[in-house]
This record gives sequence, structure tokens and C-alpha cells, in this order.
Amino acid sequence: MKKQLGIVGIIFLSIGSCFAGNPDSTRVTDVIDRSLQREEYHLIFDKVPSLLSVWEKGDYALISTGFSSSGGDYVHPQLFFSKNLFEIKSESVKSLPVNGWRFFGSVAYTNGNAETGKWNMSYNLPTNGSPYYYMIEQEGTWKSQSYDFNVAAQKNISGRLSAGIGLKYLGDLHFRTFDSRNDNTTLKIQVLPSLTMNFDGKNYISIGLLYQRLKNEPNISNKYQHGTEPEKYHLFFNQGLGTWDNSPSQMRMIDSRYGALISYRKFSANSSFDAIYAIDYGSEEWLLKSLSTLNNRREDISRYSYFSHDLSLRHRSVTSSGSFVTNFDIKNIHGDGAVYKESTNAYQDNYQFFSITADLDVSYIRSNSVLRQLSAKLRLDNSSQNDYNYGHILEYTNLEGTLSADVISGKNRAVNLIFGGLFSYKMNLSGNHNPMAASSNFFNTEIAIPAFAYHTSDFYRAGARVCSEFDIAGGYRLDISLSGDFLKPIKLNNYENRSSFTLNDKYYLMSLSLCFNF
Amino acid sequence: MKKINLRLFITALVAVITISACEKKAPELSVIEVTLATSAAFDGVAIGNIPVEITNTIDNTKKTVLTNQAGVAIFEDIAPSTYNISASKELTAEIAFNYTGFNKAITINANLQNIAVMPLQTIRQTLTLDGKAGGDLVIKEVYSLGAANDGYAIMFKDQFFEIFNNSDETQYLDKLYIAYLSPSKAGQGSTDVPLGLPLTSFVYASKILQFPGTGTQYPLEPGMGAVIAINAINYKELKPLALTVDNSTAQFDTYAITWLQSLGRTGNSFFDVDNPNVPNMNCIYLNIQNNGFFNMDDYASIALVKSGPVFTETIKDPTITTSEVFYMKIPVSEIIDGVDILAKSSSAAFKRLPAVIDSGFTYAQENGSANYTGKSLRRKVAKTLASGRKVLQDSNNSSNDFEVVAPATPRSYNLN
Repeated sequence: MKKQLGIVGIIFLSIGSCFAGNPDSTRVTDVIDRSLQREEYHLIFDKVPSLLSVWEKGDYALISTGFSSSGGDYVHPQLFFSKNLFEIKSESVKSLPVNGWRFFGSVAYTNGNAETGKWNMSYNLPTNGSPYYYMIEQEGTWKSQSYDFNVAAQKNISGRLSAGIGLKYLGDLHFRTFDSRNDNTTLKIQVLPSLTMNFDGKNYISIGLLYQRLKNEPNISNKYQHGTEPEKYHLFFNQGLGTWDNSPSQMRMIDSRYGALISYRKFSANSSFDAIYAIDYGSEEWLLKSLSTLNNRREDISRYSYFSHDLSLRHRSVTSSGSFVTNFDIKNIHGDGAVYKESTNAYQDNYQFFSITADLDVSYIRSNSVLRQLSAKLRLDNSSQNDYNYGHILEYTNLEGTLSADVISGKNRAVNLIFGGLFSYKMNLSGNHNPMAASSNFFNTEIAIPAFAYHTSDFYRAGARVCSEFDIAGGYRLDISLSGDFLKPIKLNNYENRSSFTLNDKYYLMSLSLCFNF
Repeated sequence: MKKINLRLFITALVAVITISACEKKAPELSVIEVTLATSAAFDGVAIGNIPVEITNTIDNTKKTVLTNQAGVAIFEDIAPSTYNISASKELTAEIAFNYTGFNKAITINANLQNIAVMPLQTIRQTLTLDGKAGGDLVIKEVYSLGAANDGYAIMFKDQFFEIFNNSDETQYLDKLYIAYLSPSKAGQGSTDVPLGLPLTSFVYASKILQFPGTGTQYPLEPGMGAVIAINAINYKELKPLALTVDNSTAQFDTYAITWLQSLGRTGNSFFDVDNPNVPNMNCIYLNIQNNGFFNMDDYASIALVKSGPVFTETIKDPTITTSEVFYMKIPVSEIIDGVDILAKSSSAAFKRLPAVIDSGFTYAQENGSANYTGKSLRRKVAKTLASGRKVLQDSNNSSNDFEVVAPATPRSYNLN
């Protein structure tokens, strides 16, 4: 009951604030600036809620709805060959300067369907490096829904001290609609309390804590008798790169994550600088749903523990002609997996994961120019997996560079039109796949080889977007955006004859969104 | 904070991450060293250049290495797991004559099951090659898993097995026995427990049938097979779209109701149907008191036994404590041929036949769950003679000698 009241409160906070206060049109020029405003919130203030005390972008509110569609054969062999999503979202920042409060609220609902590739019984594969997921050879079709609630509150304790707390309640429902079935529910709860100290009105130091609990509850069943290829419907539980359980029990997963962060913000008249460093420790456990005391079985069958480091830097400087925004983010995850062996009544360590991703993004946003925005991005992605039960190593490093530009047609405040384009190229810098004792294991032949071929392939991406926005009744502003991306592989660097795609395949992404701004 | 300190901080952080990235754990792989020997009966057979195969019972991967002249095969970079180890050597008729006294080719085999290999361990095992002269009559096919796509109208009522004459002379089926071997559990379920009784001198039967006849009434010509059906009914006619068989032309069928009634027991008229046009097998032993019939287990190991012995000694199943279940003991020396069909590739502990009869075992699906798939285990063809007669593979190792087919193929090797 308390949880339901809490959710209702979050909804009112998010939506109610949309209809209050002055519109932000005097502060925000167009969709480019509006995107910058939201980007700054999600990169900085979402992580350090107490920093909302220095939120300089003004209140805003929006309700948006959109549809996105993606599909193609140039995709990771276990992931989405097609995906269609409908989303409706509300987001707002609301200040109460008299009382020293500032709030952020966001509610989002998505509904869609997807087709996943082979050896995926879990919809989304783990993103924290964990090797644990249910898998089945037969491709699947899915229906999905998600409910995301996100609120933050900040209060000035004194002239120098500010406290804040962020709460997230994210629920996903993924239903596999093709035998074998999986009614998979995921619930993530995140709490971020933080404190910010203002030293001289220009320098701010914040500290914060993170607690996150992710519960994943698969419910696997068969509704109809299978066809004559029962091997395609055999359920496995993956535990490494060749280590798997071929008679898995029904399990649930609990991932508890604890973290701390420290951040520094420096203000001046024409620039701002933010640095945030966060360190997290997470422990993911897979627990048997039904435990028989007669068999004296252990409850937790697999466990994965990991450390995550994240350093984010953001610099913005304002000149007479525009502003430069530089974002740099580097993230590292280091994890270890172990499976419980009944034969020895002990956990056997078998798996290691290590990854570094680094993103550098430089944008020049011009105020009074047809060329509204120019940006260049660079992304480095390094990943290494090691199943030392088999000596199976899989590692690669990729570099992707992107150039994009947006032009605006005139400066008509009532209506404007923005055209944007982007081009990116992803290049594989290195790759090493050595299956050793797992060379004949079906994980190597069916999953590792095609996935490695995909990860180490080079591709180019071309994209375009058209945005238009105009005033509507009540002083509000509506923006409509249509965008599309197209990916095509250029080079297969490994396993040319055994990849799941060819150089003739492609992947597309399209989205249409409608946003009412208040 | 000064800019230079921030740069140093970032550099230090990246250095820490980079250094921690280098600490990749070394593979925890092991070594298996296999030494071949021969039984006393085959002492002197050369043991060099023999293929030794190991099978990882968890992921079903196989690796084969040839022995050196000393009979040693070394497997390096092996993942910790549980392994089955097997080796076989075919002796030509000329060489076999020196050991068996029969001028007939023979395959000698050796097999070890469930050898546990821990990380970074070197395991040393000795395998002893042994064998017996191949039989003239062999089990050609066992179809026990039941029909598929039949809406459960047939289930396992269409089971059959087939005996084949693999020699070049007429053989007689009269008075030969067929034994269904125990235990019924074959490693499908996680709670299945192996029987635990020794297989050196005896095997253990839950059901025994006997061919009728007085001695020469039921000949089987060379290259011909005889089908023994649980029910001699045309199930294809009953369910044309199902994966099932036409058993109406079986040479023999089983019918237990009359026999059970004569013993004061009851049969099962739902599953046990008699075709009056097909000769019945003689009922010898059935360890179910009432409602029993001569169906095979899902994963059925069966043996063809000589006609001479009379079976009287039973033994209680030591693994069943909730009731008393008895099996008939059958001397290994009386077995003509046998095939061990188990649930899945990791079911070696549930073998029902000793290695001298069947040094391996076979299964329909690596990971089990083969019930009602319409699949059948059939002996492979070693060669086809100019006359069209087929000679079937008989190395006394069903791991190599049998293949999976669907649907089942009764009398498929017959000349006409």
C-alpha cells in the first residue's frame, strides 16, 4: 500500500508540475538548446541531486510521445533483429525558491514488440559483464512494456549546504510469445542521497551514495507441444564462455549495488566545469525459486561480483557567438563469476570480465547562425572475457568516430525547421578469440564465433533528422522530430565464413516524436 | 582543485585501471594420460596407434588422440569436467583366430565412465581392451520412445524391437530370450539413482520374453530382420500425420493378459492389444504384479539371450525403499547381443550392460527429453554386399554402432 501511494505521489509530482509555472521559452531557443538542457540534467544532476541547488536552466516541463522502429540483419546474433516501441513520457523541473526546494520528476511508459536472435531467452543480455542468462536456440518474438518513475528533490539546508535525494523505480515486463515462453519481470530501485557544499559561490564539492537493487524474475514455461526439433527448445543457463547448465532450475536474480561518488563543480560567468567520479560494488546472485530441504541444495547457484568506476567530465564555455560543450566519460567494469558445484559443495570461480568505455564529445552550438550545431564524437570500447574453466578468451577494442551538424532555417520564433545529419565510422582496432578447450563446445561455435565476428566488424552509420517546432495555444511550444539512422558493415575482420551476417546486410533505426513543452 | 592535480588524478586512475586489466587469470586446464592394456585373453595384441577418445559429459565435446607405441595417449589442455574414456581396436579374422579360435574379425573395446578431472590436475587412467566374438544375431533397432505429433493418442503403444541375422547362414529364433534390462531409470531426471549392482557376471531384467517354437519353426534368413512389436497394429493408419509406424506386419507381438490371468494377476487391456494373426512371444518374467504388460522403458536397454538357461534367481533393487522390486539375474555369459540405450550423453553411470557386451551406450538426444519424439535407435550398416545383403556394424560398442532415425524403420534392411 505504501509503495502504491509512493508511486501515485511520484506521478503527481511529475505530471502536475507540467502545468504550473512559466514556460521556459525565454530561456531556451529551440530543440537544440532544449536537448542541451536535458542532457545537462541527465549527465550531472541526475547523478548528484543536491547539485540541483545550482540548476541554472530554469524550470521546464514536457510531455512527449514517440514511436521508434529498428531492424535488420546486421545485428548481434543474440539481440534484436527488429524492435518497435511506442513511448509516452513526462518530465519536468520545478523550483520553489521561497522554500529552497527544487524537484525533478519523470514518468515514462513504453510498449512494444521485438524479435530476438538465437540463444537468447532473456530479452536483454547483461550489461554489467555478467555471463548468466537463460538461453535457448530457437529465436523468439517478444512483447514488452516498461514503467519508469524517476524523481529527485533538493533542499538548501543553509547558505552553503544543500541536500538532495534521487529515487528511481524502473519496471520492465518482457513476455516471450513464442515457445518456449518467458514471462520476465525486472524491477530496479535506486536511491541516491547526496550533499553539496558551496565554498565561494564558484566552487562546489558534492558527495553521494548509491544503493540499487535489481530483481529479475524469469518465469519459463511451454504452452504448446514443440515441433520435431526438440533440440531447438532445450533450455540452458549460461555461466561463462562454454560453461553452462543444461538442466537449469527456475531461478530469480538479485543484483545489489552499493556505491559512492564525489563531484566537483566550478562556475564562472561564462563557463562551468563538472567532474564526477563514482565507484560501485555490485553482487549478482541467482537463487533457486524452489528449494527442497530434502535434497539439501544450496539456494544460490551462481554469483557474479563486480566493481565499476566512472569518471565524467563536462566543460561548457559561452562566447558571444555560441558555446562550446565538451563531455568526457570513462567507465570501467571488472567482474568475477563463480558457479556452485554440488559434487564438491563449493563455488568454483570460472569467469572474469573487464571493460573500458570512453566517450569524448565536443560540440559547438551557435546562437545566431544557420549552422546551429557542429559536433564531433569519439568512442573507445574495450572488452575482455575469460572463462578459465576452458581457457576461453574473447577480447576486442573498437573505435568509433562521429561527425554531426544541424542547420536551422531562419530565425522565425513562431516556426522553425532544423535539419541535421550525422556520419560515423566504427573501426576495429584489435581482437583476440582463443577458445582453447572450448573449441568444440557449442557455445563457441554457435554464439562466441558469430558474436565476435559482429563485435570486430567495421561499419559506417549515416543518419538524418528533421525537426520542426512552433508555438501553440496557451504559450506552449510543440516540437516534432523525425530521424533515421542506417548502419552498414564495411569489413569483416574475423570469421568471415561463420558470421551471422554478410556485408550486404544492414540495420536501420527510425523514430518519430512529438513533444509538448511547457 | 588546480587543473594539474585533476590531470594527475585522471592519469593515476587510468593507470590503476590499466594495471588491473592485465591481471587475467591463467587457464585452469588439466591433462589426461591414458594407458592401454589388454585382457589376458588378448595378451600380445599391439597397443600402439590406437585411437583413444574422451567425451566431456557436460558439454559433449570429444577429443581423440592416438596411442604411442607404448600404448599411451596424452590429452592436454582439458577443461575440468567429468569424462568418459573409450578405445577400440579391430582385429582381422586372421589375428583374431590366434586369440579366439574363431576365424572371424572381432573388435576389442575398453571404456571408463565418469572420470572426474579437477582444475590443473594430471589424471592417469589405464584402460583394458577386451571383447567377445561378434554374434550372428544382433539387435538391429529399438524403438521405445513413443510417437510424436499424435495428440497422445498412440503414446508408446507402437514400440518394437528388431532382431537381424548378420551372418551368411540361416539362424533360428526358436526359444531365444529377450530381456528388458534394469533399472528403468536411465539418467533423465536429476533425482535418478544408478542401480549399484555389479555387472561383471550378471545383468538384471525386469521383463523377459521368449520366442515361441520348438527349435526350427522360426528361421531367419541372412540379411533379414524380425520385428517384435508390443502391439501388432497399424498406427500409421490410425494417425497418418503422426511420427509412428505400421506394426501390423510384425513377425511377433507381445500379449500378457492371458498369461497374467493364469497366474491370478491382472493385465492392462488399454495398452496391451493382441493381433490374433501374429504369433505371441512367450511371457517368462514380469516384475509388475498387476496391470503390467511388456512395454519397454522410455530409454530401453535390451539383451538377446541364448535359449538354454532357465532363470530362477531374482535380486531386490537396493535403491528402492518404498516398495520391493525384484529383477531376474541373467548370466552375462548367456548373452548373444545387447544394446545399452540411456537417457542422455551424461548418463554413463546408469549402464545396464557390462563393457564386454556393450562397451559404450547410445542415446536419442544429447540432453535427454526424447520421450514422444518418434525417434528410434538403429544399428548402422557396415557394408552392403553385391547381393544387396547388408552387414551391420557390430563392434560391441553401441556408442559407435547405433544411429538415431525418425520415424522408426522396421525391416528396413531386409532384402525384400
